[in-house]
Amino acid sequence: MGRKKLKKKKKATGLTIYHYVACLVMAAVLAIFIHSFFPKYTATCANTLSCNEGPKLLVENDGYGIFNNKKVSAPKIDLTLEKYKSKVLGVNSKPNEKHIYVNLKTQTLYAYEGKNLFMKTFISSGKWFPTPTGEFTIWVKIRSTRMSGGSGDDYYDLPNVPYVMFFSNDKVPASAGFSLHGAYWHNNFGHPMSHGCVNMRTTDVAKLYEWATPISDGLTTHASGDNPGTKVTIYDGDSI
Amino acid sequence: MMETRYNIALTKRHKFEMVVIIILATTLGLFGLIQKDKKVNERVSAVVPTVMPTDTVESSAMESPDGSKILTLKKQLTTKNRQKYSFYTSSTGDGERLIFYKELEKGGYISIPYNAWSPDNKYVFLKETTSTFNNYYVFLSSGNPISDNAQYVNIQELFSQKLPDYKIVDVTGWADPALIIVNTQPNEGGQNISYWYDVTGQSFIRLGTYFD
Repeated sequence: MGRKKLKKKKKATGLTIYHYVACLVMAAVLAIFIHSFFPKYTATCANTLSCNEGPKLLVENDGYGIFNNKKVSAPKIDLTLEKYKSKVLGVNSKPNEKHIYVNLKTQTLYAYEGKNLFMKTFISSGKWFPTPTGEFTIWVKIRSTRMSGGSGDDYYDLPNVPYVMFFSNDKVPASAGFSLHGAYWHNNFGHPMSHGCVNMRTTDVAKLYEWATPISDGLTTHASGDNPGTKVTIYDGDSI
Repeated sequence: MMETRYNIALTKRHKFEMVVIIILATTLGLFGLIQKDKKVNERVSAVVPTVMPTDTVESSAMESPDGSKILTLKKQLTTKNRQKYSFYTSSTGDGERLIFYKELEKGGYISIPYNAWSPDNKYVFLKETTSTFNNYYVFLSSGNPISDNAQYVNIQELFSQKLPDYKIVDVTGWADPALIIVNTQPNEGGQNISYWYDVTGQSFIRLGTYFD
């Protein structure tokens, strides 16, 4: 009788450490399960208006742009000059040796061909929307296009955006419209300024455009198995 | 009988405690995961290189973003240990045009910031570094006077007159063809604030975002 009382007493003495551990494990599993239904980073379109139409070659030499609530003169583009451009040294190297790195912390772009540094220059990444980080591949190069987006005071509509290299990966699809491109409407490189894209000086991006793959075959060039795009690594760190 | 009732009461209480622990831990875990998703990438402002004069006679230059014009600095030491600074602009195929000349005592210097040119090539700005504060001069790249009364505008001078409670930390570049980004700090400490200096209106526009 005494032993039974003792056993019952033992049962009634409270939670053991195992109970607490079991609770925490269950809680962790439950939290992860619920969190899996939360929306992940969604790479919404970098240019919220123009990306609905998809990237396309557009050269509009008679128009003007809107930026900061003001008219902006877009640089004229003479496409007849394109065929006379001299090849940039190294442009015929194997595509898989080329790699572009963008350091968001220092706002610096590095372009390497193997171990050789082809270019180091300041850029402007996302100020109003973050530039995505990760490993990407250029999937299309377009000589000029129109980009528009934002709203209210932030609305912009910019024709003749030059030397556009769209990049993507499995998390940031092509439809999100992130790209490296020239920016003629500001000159504050070395500091974030964009809506997600990587802005470059026109003189720099022109050289990079000719150097990067896919090797240009006309004013719009899609990457393919025979003509793959250059890898682009975008990171937020101190060094490569 | 009383013992059994006591056991049942305790078991119910334990169950309740376990449920509470699970709910609390789940909430904490979810909170942690959400905060992880919202991790803000802090970006440190890039060091903007400026063309730094050496102690010898030298020349350096900064081309416009579209490559069509060049702003050139020529520095010369005099026998009295003073420095003569001359700044020229030129277009491809054209001759140089002097836009600014100044002599400085040794210790101070004038440099061409990386983003000196306005995006439309109409203006340029220079930075004069002294032991006390920096001056930022804005010129028409044509060399013509920027206003009826002056060859250039000194942003530092204007800013200290209009906004004496703040000091300029840096002038980094152009937000658009007529707006220069001026980063400032309150004299008494506190949050940094960015302004646009509107060259055409000669006014400062306070911004809601800091342009680091």
